[in-house]
Formats: sequence, structure tokens, C-alpha cells
Amino acid sequence: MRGNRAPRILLEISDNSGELLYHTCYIPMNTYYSMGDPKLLIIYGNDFDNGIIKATVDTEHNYVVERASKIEVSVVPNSQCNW
Amino acid sequence: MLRLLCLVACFLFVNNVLSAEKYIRVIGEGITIEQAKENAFRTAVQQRAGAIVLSERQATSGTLSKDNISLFSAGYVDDFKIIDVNQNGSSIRITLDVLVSESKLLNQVLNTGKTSKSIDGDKAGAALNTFLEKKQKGDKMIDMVLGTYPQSAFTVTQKPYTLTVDSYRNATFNIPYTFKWNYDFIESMNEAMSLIEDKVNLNQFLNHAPSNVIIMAKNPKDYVFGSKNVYKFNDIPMLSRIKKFYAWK
Repeated sequence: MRGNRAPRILLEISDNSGELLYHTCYIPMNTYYSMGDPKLLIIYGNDFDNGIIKATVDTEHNYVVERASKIEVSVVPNSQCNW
Repeated sequence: MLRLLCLVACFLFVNNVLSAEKYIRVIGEGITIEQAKENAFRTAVQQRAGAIVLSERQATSGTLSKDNISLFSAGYVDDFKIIDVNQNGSSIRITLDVLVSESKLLNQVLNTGKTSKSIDGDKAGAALNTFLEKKQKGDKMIDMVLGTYPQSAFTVTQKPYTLTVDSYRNATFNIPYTFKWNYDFIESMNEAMSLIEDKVNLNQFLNHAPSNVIIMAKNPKDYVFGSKNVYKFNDIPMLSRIKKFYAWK
């Protein structure tokens, strides 16, 4: 399953007090399950994805870069990315 | 040789019928007679078909925030006979002989009439209610296993970042990652599916049943071969429930 129904990888950048400076959601590129046939659900448990998340943090001010203390990625439901 | 095979087959068939037709005696208590019967049915199903204890624990900030324990039992009441009913104050105690059948129904038949025009609503109702209760427990088990999707279903690992600038002097963090299924989650899915799948007829065995779940995965500890597990359900709400978890989370 690709696109808007797939789980997301959430990237969060925060400062040393824990304040969130930047966040973005990333869609893994692989296919993990198929639901085309209404009678059928196929789960491909071996699929994996290797990639690079590119986070362009700011254009005019560098406060995110200067204050950044922690970069963390996690898996979240796609509904958590409807900001 | 052929005769010997027939004898063995007959013995197995008779043995199967005898064990399947075994009533067990149970006692149930409740405030009403219906409650007492339900209590007795539950005991009978657990005794005959066994029960699996499902435990769901979740910790938030080091504190146990969720601790659900529930029982899943694969069976339903096919028939029962009331042996004794006693009223003790406000409580009713009932003794029943109960016939418990396997939950993996073939062709969805729960109960059949003994004559062309009569129906025993009490027994048909008991079969239907205990069957539906078992299905609801199966739903609950699926909710428990899939309730942690996608957080527990995948493992994401990140590698050290690099900071770059593009042609427009924009700063960009580049974070390499790997993202893959958590095999423990796949195993939990396989175990849950094998407990709740239905028995299907020969036609459905060869083709798709009304609902089908196929899980293809390889244990990371194995070198070459993975496995393909096919689970067939006569029950469409079950597949819809499973799909809902994958579709909207």
C-alpha cells in the first residue's frame, strides 16, 4: 500500500529543553500490503525501505540549525500527519 | 491392504463422532435464569475448547497505563439439556449438560431442525449467541494485536545525519534510515489469524473464501526460505475490521 494510506515516518528536531523546532512526515516508498481485491488482504512481511529523509529546515534564519539538539525518526499512523 | 485402510478410516471416523458428541456437565450462577445459563455456557466452552489468555499491557512514561486481560475460547454451544435449577435467595444456580462444538464452522451451519416444521428457539438461540460471543472475542483479539499498528509493526532505524546547503543556500538535514516490518508483529498476526480462522469447504479451499488474509514473511533467523500463510474466513466483518486497521492508520 502506497500513498496516503501508508504509515509515515515522522522526523522531529528539538532543542535541549525538548521544544519542537521542526517536524515533517515522510512516506516510505515500498509496498507493504495489498488490498485491491475486496476479498483479500496480502501482507508482504519482508518488504523494507532504505532511504534518506531530506529536511530543508530554513531559508533565511538558521535558528533551527543553531538550536537543534535532538533528531529523531519514528513510525506513526498517517492520521497523525494531517496537520 | 485396502481393507485395513478402510478399517483404520472407520475407526477414526467413529472415534471422531464419539468425541464430538460428548456432553459435559457444568454449573452456572446468575441473578436471572438467562444469566445463569450464559455463565454455564461460558464455562462449558472454556472447558471443552480451552481458553487462551490474552494480555495487553502498555506503559506510558514508565507507568502501567493499560492492563487488559481477556479470554478467547474457540467453540460454541451446539446443544444443551437442563438437569437442575435451584433458587438460593436472589441467586439462581443451574446445572446443564452442554455439547460444545468446534468454532471452525463448515458452511456456517450452527443448528439444524430435527423435523420439517419444528424449531427449538432456546437451543438455536444458545448456538447463535455463543457463536456471536466467540466472534466478538475474536474481534477483540484482533483489536489487541492490531491496536499497536503501525508503531509496533515496523522498525525504523536512523543513521547519523549530514547537514548540506543547496544552490540557494538553504540548509538541509539528510537523515539516512532503514524501515522494515517487525517480525515479532508478523508472528503475533499469524498466531491470532490461526486461532480465529474458519473451516472452509473444498471449493473455498481451492479458491478464495469470502475473506482471505495472506501473510508472506521470512524469519530473519532463517537463511533462505520464508513462509506463506493463508487464512480463510467465512466472516466478512472480520476482514473488514482487519483492513480498517491497515487502511486508516
